[in-house]
Amino acid sequence: MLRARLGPVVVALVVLVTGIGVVWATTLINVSPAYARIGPNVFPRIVGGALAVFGLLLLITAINGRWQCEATDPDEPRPDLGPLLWVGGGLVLNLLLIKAIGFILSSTLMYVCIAKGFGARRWWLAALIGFALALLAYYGFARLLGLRMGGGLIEDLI
Amino acid sequence: MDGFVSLAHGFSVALTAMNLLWSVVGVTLGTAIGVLPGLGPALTIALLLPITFQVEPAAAFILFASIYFGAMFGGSTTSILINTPGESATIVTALEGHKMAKAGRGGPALATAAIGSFVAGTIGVVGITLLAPVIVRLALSFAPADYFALMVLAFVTVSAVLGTSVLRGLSALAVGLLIGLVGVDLQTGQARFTFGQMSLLDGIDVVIVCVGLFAVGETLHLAARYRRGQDEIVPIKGSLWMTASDWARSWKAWLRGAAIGFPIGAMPAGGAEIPTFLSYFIEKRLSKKPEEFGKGAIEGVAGPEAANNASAAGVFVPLLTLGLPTSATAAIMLSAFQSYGINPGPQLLSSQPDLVWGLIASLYIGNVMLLILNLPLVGLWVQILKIPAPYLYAGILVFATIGTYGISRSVFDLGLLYGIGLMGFFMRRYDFPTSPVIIGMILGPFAEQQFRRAMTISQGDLSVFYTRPIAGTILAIAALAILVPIGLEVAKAVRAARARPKRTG
Repeated sequence: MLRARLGPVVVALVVLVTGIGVVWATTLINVSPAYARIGPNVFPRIVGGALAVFGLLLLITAINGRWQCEATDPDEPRPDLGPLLWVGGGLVLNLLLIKAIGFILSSTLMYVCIAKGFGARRWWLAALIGFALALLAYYGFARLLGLRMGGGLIEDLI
Repeated sequence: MDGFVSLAHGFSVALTAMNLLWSVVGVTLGTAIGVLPGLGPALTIALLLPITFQVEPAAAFILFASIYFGAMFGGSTTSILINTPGESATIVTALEGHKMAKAGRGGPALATAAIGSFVAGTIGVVGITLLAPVIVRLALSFAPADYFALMVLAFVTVSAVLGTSVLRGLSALAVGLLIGLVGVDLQTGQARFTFGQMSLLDGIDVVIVCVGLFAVGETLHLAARYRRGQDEIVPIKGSLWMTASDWARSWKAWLRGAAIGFPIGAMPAGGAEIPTFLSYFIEKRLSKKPEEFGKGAIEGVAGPEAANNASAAGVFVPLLTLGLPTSATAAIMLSAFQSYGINPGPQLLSSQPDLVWGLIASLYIGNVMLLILNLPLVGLWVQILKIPAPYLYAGILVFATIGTYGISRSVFDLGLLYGIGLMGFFMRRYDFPTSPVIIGMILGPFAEQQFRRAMTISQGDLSVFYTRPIAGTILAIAALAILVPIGLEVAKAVRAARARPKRTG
C-alpha cells in the first residue's frame, strides 16, 4: 500500500515544486515599463501557477490512493532494474564520449549497451550491427540532409 | 465547387514523378513505422524535420502526410496480429481484430481494415476539399481573441477530455507550455527560463522533445518491462479475401465510421479516440449479431478503422485553415510549416495553393498506394515484427541520437534529449499522456501571441474574451469540457469515500 502511494506523492511533489519554481523564475524576467500590463512574464506566471495548482491537486489524488497507473498497479511486476541500468548506462556513456571519440564510435558503444539490456547474447554481433548502423545513419544525415556531424576517430578516416 | 477545381490543380502538383516518389517513400516508411509497436508518425516526422532545409515545402509535406497515413495502416496490422495497439485510437481495432486473427480470420480482418481505411480516407479527402474553403471564409472574421479561445479549446480537449485523468492531462499540457516558453520572447526580446544557457536562447527544439518522449522514453519503458517477454504474433491463416457476407457486414460500417470520424476529426478539438469508440458502440448496437462482439465481429474492425482514418483526414482541416494542430503529429507538421517560414491560417489556401492542394491530393494518392501496397504485402510487413528487440531498440536510439546531435552538435542538447526521455519514462509509468506536451509546446507560443495581441487591441481589458460572441462561446465550451469530467471525477470520489467504510481489507 505504501509503495502504491509513495511514487505518486513524489511525482505530485515534483509537479508542485516545478510550478512554484516557475512562478519564482518569472521574477527574473526583465519587464520594461512599456509592457507592464501584458509583459513577457504574464503567460509564464499563468503556466507556473497552473502547474502548482495541478501539483497540489495531484498530491491530494496521490495521498488518497486514487492514482491508477502502471507504477501503482499491484498486478504489475516491479520494473526490471538490470535492463534499465544497461540502457541508461549506454545513454550516459554516449553523452560523455560523443565529443571526444565522435558519433560513430560512441553510438556503437551505446548500441552494444542497449542491446545487452534487451538481452542480446553476442555482444560482438551487436557491436558489428551497431557500427554499421551508425555509419549508415552518419552518412544518411551528414550527406543527404547536409547536417554537420562533427569529427571523431572514425569520421576523420572517411 | 471551387474546391474541386483547386483539388484538380493539386493533383497536377502531386502527380509529378518526384512527388509521387516522395509519396511512395512516405507510405512505405510510414507503414513500417506503424507496424513496429511503440513507434509512431510523430516521432518519424520529427526525426525527418531536417529535410525541410533541403527540399521544397510541397514535397516535404507530401512525405509527411504519407508517413502519417501509412503509420495508421501499419498500426492496424499490429493491433490485429499481435494485440499491441500502437496508439489509443487503435485499441478498438485490437479488441475485435485480434480475436478474429486468433480465430483464423486474420486475413479478412486486415482486409476490412485496409479497405475501410481507404474508403474513409477518400471520404475524408473529399470532406477536406468541401470544408476547408468554408472554414477559411469563416476564419477570416476571427479576431486574435477568437483564435486564443480556439487554442484554449484545443488544449483542453486534447489534454483533459481524452486521457484517463483530467488532472494528469492538464499537467502534461502545462509542462508542454512551459517547454514552449523557454527562449527569447518574440515580442520583447527578453530571455525566459534560459538560466544563462546560450543553447536555450533559441528555445528547446521540438525534435528533442518529441524524440525524447517517444523514442528514448519508450525504450526505457520497454527496458523496464523486459522480463514480461515478447508478444506473440498470430500468423495469418487462410485467405486474405473477404467473403460476400464480410463485404455485406463491412460496407455500411465503413460509411458510418467515416461519417462519425471526419466531422469529429475536423473539429478544433480533435482526437481519434472518441470517434473510434463511438463507431464501435454504434456498430455493436446496430449489428444483427451483437453476440459476436468481443469474439471477433468484423463490423467492430471495419467501423472504428474507418472512423480512425476519416478523423485523421479531418485533422488537416483545422491545421491548414486555422493553424490549429489537434494531434501530436499535426503539431510536428505545424513546426515544419514554421521551419519554412509559412504560417498556416486562413491565408494559407490562397497564398500557398500548390502546397495545400498538392498535400490534399497526395492524401488521396497515398490512400490508393496504401491499398495496393499493403494488402498483398502484408506478409512482408509482418516480417518487420521479427526484428529482434535488442537490435531494434538499440537502433532506434542511434537514430534518436543522430536526429538531435546532428542538428546542433551540442552535447547539451543530447543531455536534454535523454533527460526528456527520462521524463517520458516516468510519464508512461504514472500514466500522463504525452501528446499534450508536444501540442502545448508548439501551440503555446502561438496562443501567447494571440492572447497578447487581443489584450493590446482591447488595451488590457480582459472582457474581450467573453464579450465577443465567438470567443465567449468557445471559451464556455472549453470550460464545460474541463468542468464536466472533473465534476464526474469528484462525484465518483465522493461515492467511493462513502462506500469505503463498508469495504474491508
